[in-house]
Amino acid sequence: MAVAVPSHPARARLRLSAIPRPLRGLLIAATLLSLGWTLATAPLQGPDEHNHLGYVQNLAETGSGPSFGPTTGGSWSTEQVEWQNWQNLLALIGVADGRPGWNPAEEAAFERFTRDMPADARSDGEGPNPVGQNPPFYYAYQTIPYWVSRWTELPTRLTVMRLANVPLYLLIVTFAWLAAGEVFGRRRRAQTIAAGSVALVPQLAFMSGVVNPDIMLASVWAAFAYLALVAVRVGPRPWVLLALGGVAGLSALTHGRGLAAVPALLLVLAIVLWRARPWTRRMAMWTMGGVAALAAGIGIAIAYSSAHGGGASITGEVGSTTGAGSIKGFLSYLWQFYLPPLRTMSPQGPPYGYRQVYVEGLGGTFASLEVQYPLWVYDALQLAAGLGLIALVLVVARRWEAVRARAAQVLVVAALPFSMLAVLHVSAYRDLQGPPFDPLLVGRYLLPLLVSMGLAIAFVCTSLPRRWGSLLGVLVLCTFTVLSLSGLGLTIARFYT
Amino acid sequence: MIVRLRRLWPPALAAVLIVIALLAWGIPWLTKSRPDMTATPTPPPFANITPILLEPGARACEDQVALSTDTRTVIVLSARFEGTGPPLRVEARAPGYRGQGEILGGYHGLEGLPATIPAPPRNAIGSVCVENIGRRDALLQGTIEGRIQSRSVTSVDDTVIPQKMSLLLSTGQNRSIADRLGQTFERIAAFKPPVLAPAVLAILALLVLVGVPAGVIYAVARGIGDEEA
Repeated sequence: MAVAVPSHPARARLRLSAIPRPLRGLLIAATLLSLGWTLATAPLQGPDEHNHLGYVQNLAETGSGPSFGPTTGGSWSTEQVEWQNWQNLLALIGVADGRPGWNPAEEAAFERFTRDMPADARSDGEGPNPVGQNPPFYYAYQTIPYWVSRWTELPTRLTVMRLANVPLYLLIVTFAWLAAGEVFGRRRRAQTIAAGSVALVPQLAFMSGVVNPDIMLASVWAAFAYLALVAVRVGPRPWVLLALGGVAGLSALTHGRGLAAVPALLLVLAIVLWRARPWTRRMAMWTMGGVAALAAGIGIAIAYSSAHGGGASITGEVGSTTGAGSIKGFLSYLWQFYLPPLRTMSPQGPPYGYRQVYVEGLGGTFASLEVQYPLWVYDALQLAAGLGLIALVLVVARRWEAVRARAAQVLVVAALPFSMLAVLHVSAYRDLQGPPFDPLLVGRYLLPLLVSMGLAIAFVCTSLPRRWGSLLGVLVLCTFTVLSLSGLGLTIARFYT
Repeated sequence: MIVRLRRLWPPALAAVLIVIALLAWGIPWLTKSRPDMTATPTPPPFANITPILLEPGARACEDQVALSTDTRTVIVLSARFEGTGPPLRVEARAPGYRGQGEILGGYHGLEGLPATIPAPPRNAIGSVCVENIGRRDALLQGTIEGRIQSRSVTSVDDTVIPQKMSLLLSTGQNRSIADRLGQTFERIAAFKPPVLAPAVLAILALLVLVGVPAGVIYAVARGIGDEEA
């Protein structure tokens, strides 16, 4: 029988020491933040976490996953329903006056249920599950911690599943570091500011502490950003093209919003191939291979979602079935999202724009959106973000020649937010055309764009005079650190006092 | 010496900024007096109140209510109405326990109405009833919102109604988190694996509080400070 040979301890130490020291510090901070959010957020209080848990459990128990459409079963398993009932976990979702049931008598009642639980109490949550149409990649990943802890009670399994997000979070930070290395070279200052500006974003840290596919999507997009920058450097090598296509395919397999990887991949391929002229037959073949990897991901996602989606499809939040609207209407919506409306414009939905999504969303609204910082914090963040954007424009103008010389990198870094925002805005506009007339666009949807944001912050900092750039970098990292820790405090006060 | 100072200013600045900001935010957070809730069998509606009408002598009861040994106050909520409301009698029951309290008449609509009850001798699942002991109708807050899904059922004079009566239980005191750190960790531990006992959670909290800034300051020292030298 073959026996796995353990790696040599010295080699293991060597690999650990290969992690740059600033990155080590950021990874430690990220790990502890994720642990903090895992423990501080009451069970099932992340965005739609009760539905995501139901999906994972059904997939793990039956190998199939719940349906989005009507079935004869329930939205959640009997075990989950009993837990929600006895520890009051459903009534408090988004309701700031609600508290979870911490009374020992409630715990005991749930334990009594689990002792005499019916045989199918874990597997009968076959739907309709509101997230049942989501593609299965993240949920399949989460079945691993579920199975590892299968012998424990559901609260323990949820905690283990939340902790399984830590590697995904660390991958995001690592890819941000590596992407900064591609853009700025091995300059530790730039890499630290870029990766730190990603790692310490409060919304990202929070999402790493709850069961939700958005953390996987952000992880996949961070990998895509890094690979795209590598592709610019090394050209259309076969492994790069296949990896890009494969990661884009994983994006589609993670969430409907992941389909935004399609335009992103096409833009990146166009840039990389344009630079590699004249084209060869071999290049075309490997490019087709990359596209085929993407198509495979999309195909599997569509097949899964169609089998589980009832009348819906994989696109979910990005595929509104309501009215299509018009180009003029869309442009009016887009204008009003970012700017005050002109007199000739009619209102497009509720007063909901970039502040709610970019500032409050990314800056941090926690639990099911009901845990927020005081208003002045968002005002200050909005001002800082505005000043940052102005600084970015001024720096680009001042270093225009350098920017032009690296046009391919700039285009690649910009392709990601452009693709994702285009998909999100079109989808939000279509949602506004019919019931419930509500733009489904929240801050966590922007997590896949964090690497681009981190690179932009690092670019501004490294373009300023050294001392001022370092000062700005320190200020950004400290602000995010304090916001993350205070967000944890607010969440503890919301659930446990 | 100058090189050393150049290297040190970024992490030193980061440390000072983080410590000052955390103290400025953390001390008020720790010492702010907050209501000490013990259970929220049915929290107030998210958007729409569906009133529960209690005629004189009528009695609304909510079952499956968690009563803890530190519960001293039951809070019912009045719905919107004109004028003033009648007096109410509140009764909490659990096996081996019965506690009564009264809400004086003269309250207005959309108010929290606290009634003081004797503390239950042990943690238990019981019921809470509210009886109209006045001569006018009482309107209490209830909800039929799908999102307020709790295990409790409300009945009026033994007839189950679609609304759930909004009901909050507390110790009747406002206390700061600093005054009840142990209780806070106990409450968090109620939803975690047994290995995460309150003492373990306290250690982990300290680790997060110290370790996150330490990791960031280390990254700043090695990433920004070293390049400043």
